[in-house]
Amino acid sequence: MSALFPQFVPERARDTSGPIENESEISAGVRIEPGKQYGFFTDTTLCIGCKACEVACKEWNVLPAEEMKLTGNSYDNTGALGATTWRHVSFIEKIKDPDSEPVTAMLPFQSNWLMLSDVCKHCENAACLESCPTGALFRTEFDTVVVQQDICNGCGYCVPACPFGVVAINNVDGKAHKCTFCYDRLKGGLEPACAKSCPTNSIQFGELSELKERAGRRLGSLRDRGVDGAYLYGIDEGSGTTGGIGDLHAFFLLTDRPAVYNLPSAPSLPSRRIARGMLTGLGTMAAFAVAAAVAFFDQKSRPSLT
Amino acid sequence: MSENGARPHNYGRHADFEPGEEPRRKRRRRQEDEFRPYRGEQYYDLPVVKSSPWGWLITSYFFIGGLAGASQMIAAIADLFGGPTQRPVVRTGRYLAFMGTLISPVLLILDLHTPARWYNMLRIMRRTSPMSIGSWVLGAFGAASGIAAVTQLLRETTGTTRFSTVERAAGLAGAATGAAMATYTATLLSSTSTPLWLTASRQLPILFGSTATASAIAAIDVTLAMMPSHAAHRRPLSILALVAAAVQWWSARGMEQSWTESGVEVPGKDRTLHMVDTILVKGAGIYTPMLAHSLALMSGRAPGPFGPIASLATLIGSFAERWLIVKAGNRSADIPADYFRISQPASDSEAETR
Repeated sequence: MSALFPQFVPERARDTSGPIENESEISAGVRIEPGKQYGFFTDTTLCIGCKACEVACKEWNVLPAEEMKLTGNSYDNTGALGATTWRHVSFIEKIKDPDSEPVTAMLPFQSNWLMLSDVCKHCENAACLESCPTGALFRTEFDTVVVQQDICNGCGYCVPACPFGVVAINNVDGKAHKCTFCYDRLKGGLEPACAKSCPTNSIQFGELSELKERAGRRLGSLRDRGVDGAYLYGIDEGSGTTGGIGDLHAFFLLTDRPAVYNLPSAPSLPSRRIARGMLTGLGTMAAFAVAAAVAFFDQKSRPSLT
Repeated sequence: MSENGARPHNYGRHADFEPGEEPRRKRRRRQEDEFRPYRGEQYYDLPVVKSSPWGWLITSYFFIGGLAGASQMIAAIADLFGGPTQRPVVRTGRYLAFMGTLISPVLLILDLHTPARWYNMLRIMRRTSPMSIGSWVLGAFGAASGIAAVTQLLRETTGTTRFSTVERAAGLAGAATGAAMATYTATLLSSTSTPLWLTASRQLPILFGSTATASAIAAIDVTLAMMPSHAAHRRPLSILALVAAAVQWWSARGMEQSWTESGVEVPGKDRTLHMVDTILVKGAGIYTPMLAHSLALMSGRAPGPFGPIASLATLIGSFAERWLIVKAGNRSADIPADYFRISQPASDSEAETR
């Protein structure tokens, strides 16, 4: 392409003898620097369900293919996020309208199809990171959450801890895995593979604050054009940010209820339940200790029965 | 966002079902035992959250770690308040606790998917992780129990009383950490996104604590019954066992109510789990010791062979209870409706009607 249309290729990208420095400036319009917050804004109204993100993710991260199967759930043969699946496109065919009449004609907006490319949310307060007893899960200099594969011992606590069901254990290598936000690419000045491969810009990579503004503008534009159901999931104290989880660094523009996309409306941060639970437990045992003291003390004054 | 105009739908902050689908006022007046299924949308009935990868090893650890912790606590109390007739309880409790600390780490390490890296648990201390807290509690408990057991053994074999202060201090340290050992596992479970564990976060520590106490008493009782020199006065242990069984029953009932109120499918819906719950957890683990110890206390005589039998039943019931909680929890994580039900915004369903 650069040979055919040199005018489309920025000056400093024409030298193909080595990697392009700060490539994300060209591909995503943002320079990647440590200490800043980066995220994904996934605009589901732009998703066409091509699964390029799934493929790009598997290719870049050298993730093995899943067992091939037809699920019967529309075009979603991926099923769910897992240890070797870090992007998952869900397909919802809204074949019925709200009044339960089967839709016989294609509706003008998205033809009654909803598609969403799901990913690890890289939560502001990440349950997986908080629950990790080894410190394998950590927060990077880009404010993303990553499992250090050389530390994880496969205890599995992050798996039920995640409020979005993202992290999973791989039984082949015995470690927990999830989206790394292409930590290696960020370090090299490249935007994550999924965002770069997205042909409709449904997955947008950028600085979190800038993405939020962009998402707000997109929401306003959609509302002006009559898409009244559109809303942002995962920021502005809306759905997905509840219970202490905070902003999701991978947030979404949705047009139907969260559960339609298999997302919880108001999840909560598991660590919020620790203090009370521990105190209840210790209180229970203290009560038993008192009961035991009374029982043991009581028998001392009685004659032995044996 | 005033420039965006009217917002007829506000899905971003709303429940996953129309208010009309389930009248709020009616729900406030609901019966306590009324099961409230989720009637909102789902995604092909696929799970939302992932179930834990834990099985029988973790179940066994919950049982043995809890038993060991409570044994050390009972031993320390008997040491302080029991007088000479309770010395067998003290020594049995300490040895049981020590045996527990030997088995527990093995079970935990075997359960890791990369066991060779068990020592990474010691890299950090993280107060937001009950498993991290628990690793350090187990370490401290193991050390205290080890010292208590060794000094006790020295005294019994050589007759020396030089370490009696160390022995008692280690026993007390073991009792304090043992109290945490008996209950932190409940918080470990409820600090997840698994519906069945999450919704029982109030009752689970009480249940685990009372079950650990009951199993420790039972283990001490069975051990004493096997020893010819057994001369411990049974009354205090019987009283404690009765209290523990009553608390078990009460907290289990509260837990089941909590599940029903939050609309989580109870284990009783599954045939196998229901059988385990009725026969083993309740029948063997709660009602049998309740009956046996009540009879023993009322008659004022030693329970004879029924004592150890009731204690064995308690042990079986305690293990079955941990198994049931872990198993049923893992199942509940796979039920999307349960997770959607408990992750509805409170402002919609509860706060507004208060």
